[in-house]
Amino acid sequence: MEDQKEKIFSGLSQAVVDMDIDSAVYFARKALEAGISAEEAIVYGLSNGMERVSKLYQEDIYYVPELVVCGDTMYEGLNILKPHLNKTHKPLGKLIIGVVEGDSHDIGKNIVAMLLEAAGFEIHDLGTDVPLHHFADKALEVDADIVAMSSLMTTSRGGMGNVIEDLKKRSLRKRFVMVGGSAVTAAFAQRIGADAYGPDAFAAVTLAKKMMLQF
Amino acid sequence: MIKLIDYIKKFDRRLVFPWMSTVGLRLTGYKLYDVYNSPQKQLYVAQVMDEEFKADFVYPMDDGALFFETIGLPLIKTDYDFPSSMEHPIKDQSILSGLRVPDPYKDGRMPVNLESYSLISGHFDKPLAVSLQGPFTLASELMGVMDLVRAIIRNPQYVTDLLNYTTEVVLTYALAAVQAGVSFLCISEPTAVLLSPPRFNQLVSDNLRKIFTSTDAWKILHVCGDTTYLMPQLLNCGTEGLSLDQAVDLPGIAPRIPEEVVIIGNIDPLNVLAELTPAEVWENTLDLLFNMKDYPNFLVSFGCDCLPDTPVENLKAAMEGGRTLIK
Repeated sequence: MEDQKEKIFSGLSQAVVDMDIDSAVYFARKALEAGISAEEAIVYGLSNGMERVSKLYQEDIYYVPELVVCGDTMYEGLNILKPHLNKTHKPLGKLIIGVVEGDSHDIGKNIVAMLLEAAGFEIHDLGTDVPLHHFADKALEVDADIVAMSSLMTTSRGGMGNVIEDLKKRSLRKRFVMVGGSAVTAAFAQRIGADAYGPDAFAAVTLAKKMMLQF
Repeated sequence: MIKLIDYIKKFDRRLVFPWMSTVGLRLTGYKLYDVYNSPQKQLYVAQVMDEEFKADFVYPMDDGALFFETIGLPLIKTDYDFPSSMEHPIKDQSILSGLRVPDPYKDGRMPVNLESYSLISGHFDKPLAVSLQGPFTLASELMGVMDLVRAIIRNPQYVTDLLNYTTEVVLTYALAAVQAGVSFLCISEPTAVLLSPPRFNQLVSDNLRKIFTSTDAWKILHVCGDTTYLMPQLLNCGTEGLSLDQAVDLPGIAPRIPEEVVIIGNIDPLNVLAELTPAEVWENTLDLLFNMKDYPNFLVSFGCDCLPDTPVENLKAAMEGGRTLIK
């Protein structure tokens, strides 16, 4: 059984690295047939693959196109495994993510969401051009721990401050706010009262993990 | 036409070229599309900007949305910043084959823009600088960045076809722009920083070379982000000027750039121009001049477009600092 498990984990991981959707689907199904828990298949298979992909990206072997297609491959595997997660399964944290109203640029937000999902977060992606009150609405609805926002437009970045105020007013408990995007600087993040500024997707994952340690 | 490098060497100080046209909206009270749609307003904004900041080049309002707006993509518009595309419907060959290359003399705002260029270039002795969106970035607007990067791996033939189309769009307009008086032609490829060096060569360099070799103007390339890793590829595009983002260590990269290629950059529009005091901006600009003093092929500029709400005093400090003679 252990050999079979290892083979399936390795198959899932390699499928992600190779951008091979057919193999990701095959090994995800194989994991369930073999009675392997969905949690284990995700952590030791798909997430492991994304960790390797992140390393390849940081070593300038993979670039954004590979990162995105590897992420797509991971999601194909997740679609099969997620419905079988144990009801007691707890994600690393719950996170709302979106691009604020007035802005439709989404690649940075999508990569952050993908890496956070791979890191074990439960992601609620609101998409782009998100009306500001939707962030707090969703945070309260799913009891999110972190709200992440991005903006590439100077005319829309001010909306992030409104979301933070909205969250403070409506939330009974602390929820961390992380911001990023090319129109955002660390100084701006501090001015609007964000808890953290993520200069890139990998920093965002590290910051989100640190935030969860503070609960 | 005199080469850009020879032009900048004619002066006994550094020349300064800023990316800050939306600041002109604040100074004049005009809304963006009021300016886009009126050559007279374009000229007035250029005059106000020239009086206020005394750059060594004149320029109309930046117009990065021109191509995809003319092609018909739906936009999010604001009054005082650039529009962005809301949808990216050009996803496959059947839709692409229904598109035609816009006629600069007939379609959308293009004829009005050309009239604005003629008016501005006729009014000033300074060279007229215009920035156009490059073919790869235009492709990312038409298809969506996510789908474009997917297609690079999953459907490379479609990407080639899409880039052939966008290259024709940019080239056709660039030729008309030069005809209308543009002498400093900058092609901006912000999205290209997502690519590996071999893919940059394949998907960006060849198309830019085609545009640059066909146009009789100073040919500048701007790519956002840290492009240090792409330097050989950037230099392989047929450009005579490289506009580099603030993420690039300019003094560090300068020895790798041939002396006939003008290095353009790279005061930080966010962390310096938007966030510091005028005195600090001045000091920062002088530091850059000092660190680049051994490179006669250096032209002072911003790393990228500055924010529309950048303090005017900071911009003046950068412009005045940039004109300072450093020996």
